[in-house]
Amino acid sequence: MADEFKIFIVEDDVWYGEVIEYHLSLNPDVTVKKFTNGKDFLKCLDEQPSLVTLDYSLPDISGEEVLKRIKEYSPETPVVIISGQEDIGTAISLLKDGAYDYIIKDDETKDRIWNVIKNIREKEELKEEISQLKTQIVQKYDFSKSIIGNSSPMKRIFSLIQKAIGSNITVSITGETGTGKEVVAKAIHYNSARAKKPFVAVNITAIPSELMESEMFGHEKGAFTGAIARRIGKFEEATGGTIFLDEIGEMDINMQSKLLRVLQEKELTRVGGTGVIKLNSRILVATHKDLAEEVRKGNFREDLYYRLLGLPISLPALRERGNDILLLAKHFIDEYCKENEMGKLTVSPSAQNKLLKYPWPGNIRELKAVVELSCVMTDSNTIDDEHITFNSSGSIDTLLQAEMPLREYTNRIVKYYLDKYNQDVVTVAKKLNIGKSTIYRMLQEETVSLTNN
Amino acid sequence: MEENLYSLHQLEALASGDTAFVNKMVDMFIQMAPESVDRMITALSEDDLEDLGAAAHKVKPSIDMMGITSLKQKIRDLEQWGKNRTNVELIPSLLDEVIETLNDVVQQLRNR
Repeated sequence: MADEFKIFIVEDDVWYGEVIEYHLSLNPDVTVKKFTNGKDFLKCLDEQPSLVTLDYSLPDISGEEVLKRIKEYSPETPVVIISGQEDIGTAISLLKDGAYDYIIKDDETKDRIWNVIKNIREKEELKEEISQLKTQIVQKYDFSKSIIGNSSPMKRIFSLIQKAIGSNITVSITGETGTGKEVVAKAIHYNSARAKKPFVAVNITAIPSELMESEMFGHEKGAFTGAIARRIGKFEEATGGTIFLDEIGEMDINMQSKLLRVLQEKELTRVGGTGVIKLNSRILVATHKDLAEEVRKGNFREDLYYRLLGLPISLPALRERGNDILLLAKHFIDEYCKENEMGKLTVSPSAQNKLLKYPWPGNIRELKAVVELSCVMTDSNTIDDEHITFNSSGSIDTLLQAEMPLREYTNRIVKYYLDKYNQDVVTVAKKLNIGKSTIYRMLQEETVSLTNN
Repeated sequence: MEENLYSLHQLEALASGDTAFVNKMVDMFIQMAPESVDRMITALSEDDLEDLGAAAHKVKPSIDMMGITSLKQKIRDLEQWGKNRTNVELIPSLLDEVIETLNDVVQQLRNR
């Protein structure tokens, strides 16, 4: 249970005050304090009651006045008006002034107060929980912990992120797939002054172009077939916070001009709506494409490009980050072991070597998958090179990025085909359009070998 | 033995066996009812009908809780008539009835 629940009863009818106090004190979590006039009560406001029940007709100060004073002092304190008579006009005006509820003195009063208390406590617990979760998120994205790296390209990135955190400038993040664009975006948001407000991520490629406008800017009820209720768009959702537009390079050219308009006017209109909504969200964009190149090709509007460029942060590919590969691998291994309640795992020197040599076309995302698999594959507390398998989609680029001598490439290719065609030299020679003797010579020089099944 | 004009049923339900609480509330009522009566009499004599209504308003919840059903509507009429200055000519006799009943109730409670 939460802390004690302190209720202040302000009631000039001593007899009735006694009844309420008795009833509420039946719950051991509740402490009750009674006041018979407004003045005495207002003097004790600094004791921060969890709930105030306020008799509307006090002898010295009017209920409205007392309510106003409470709300000035601490707007969050719930005040329940308890009145001897039903007066809808008064009730509405008090509720408008911030009263939590308006209860008539009758047989059901006691139960109603209990309901109010129950609701307030639930609300308080939820508030508490939300604020805890928010702190957790902020800690999680403390960027010295969420972004790992010691290499010089990363040191440059860190200084750029620091600059982005300190201002409201639009940031454009580029980098190959898997280099951590979203992680950087979150790090910027959760370390900025907007951290307590929402971070809204939108992946442009995940939204069909017909729905894009209403997704981004919202729509009014009846704006189009199927718009059965008003809907708040992503930009509005991010009010006070940050909107992160991922894969901005994929945005449809029509949508680009709509987005440009919104950014220029700094306000938006929901689809089918007339009211204008002020834009108050910080914008971060990311793409794996070269936007300047897209502009040249005519796929991306030049004016929008300049508007979104802001502070460009270009994330290095993992293969350019040297020892960071091992730092990250260790981080992912530790994380995986912790999540799965396994003992600590170490990486053998040969496995480290293997990780360092690989070109990582899928970057950090791929590294994470590879090391997690290696954690599963090992039977001891050491990850060896045999536990590391690269199952990258196997594009020719990957192979080329390995930068091996041509001879080595040739050997690998021949070996690959021999394995594929069951060590059948004749078929392989035919497939590769080379002489059988070439393969036999390689076998003789033992640059390739036949595997016996 | 005349019939009780009150019922402690509600208070007892709230107290669920705690007789000390019931006794305390009864004592408070015995002490406060005459105060309310005095206030209403004074108010009427000074033609301060608004204060008469306020006094009725204040005593209303205890009348309800003490189960004085015969006064349930009367105290409300007194409250409204005083507050709005309506049925002014009926107020003195209504007040007399209310006072008589209250005095009887207090008497009965004393001899409880």
